[in-house]
Amino acid sequence: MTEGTDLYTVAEINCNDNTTTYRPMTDEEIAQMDAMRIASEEKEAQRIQEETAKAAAKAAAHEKLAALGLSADEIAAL
Amino acid sequence: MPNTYDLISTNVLTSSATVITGTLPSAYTDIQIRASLKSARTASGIDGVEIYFNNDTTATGGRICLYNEDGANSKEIQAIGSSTGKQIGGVPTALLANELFSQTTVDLLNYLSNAKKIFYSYHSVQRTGGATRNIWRTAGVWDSTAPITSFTLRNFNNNFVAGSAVSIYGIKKA
Repeated sequence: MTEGTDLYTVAEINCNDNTTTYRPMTDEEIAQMDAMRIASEEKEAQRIQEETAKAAAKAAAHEKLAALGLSADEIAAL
Repeated sequence: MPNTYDLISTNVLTSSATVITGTLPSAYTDIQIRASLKSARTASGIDGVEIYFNNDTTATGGRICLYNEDGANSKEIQAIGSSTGKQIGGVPTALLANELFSQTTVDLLNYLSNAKKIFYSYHSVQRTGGATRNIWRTAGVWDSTAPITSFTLRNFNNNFVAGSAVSIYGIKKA
């Protein structure tokens, strides 16, 4: 198997004899994995979007405070 | 003399795998899973890793996670009812051949009880291709009263590389 290219492999470890067996996922497991991966990617995209919006709002607030005459040190102290 | 954790097994992957699963023995009161993991994806960054039990990917659960990246404190909470509340950390990618493996410990206390299960994990990783370090401290809930008989570690984005390792420790029943 080439690392990183052959997804959908399960490593089953045996706690009794320290052996590991490898098998391809079943169709059901593959569908389950794909659904979970999509959910994870959507969650990560949402997190990035929220962080970007928060940073933009913070920058805009700093600009408004500066326009009111606050120094950079005073803004940082808030 | 108080009971302590005994090593039950150590398994090192000789081939890459997307998920690592293991059946837990029943002769113990508490279990600790220690994993050393790295993702096979050849890009900079980290890939997510999560844990679930008894092959149950649909049960509701939740977690609170304290997460720190290079001194920037943050927290991440997923409420009960979230089906994606099982992430316990991230694994470094394999962009750099000598990149570190993540270090992960998961505590399962009273894992055979009929109460809903709380698990704790501590996890550290360095982001491949960058200077940032991440530490995760997670308390999670698996919203099931079934005894935990198996666990699964899953890489969100790719395979775990060969050389990734999982050790199981347990406190024997009196």
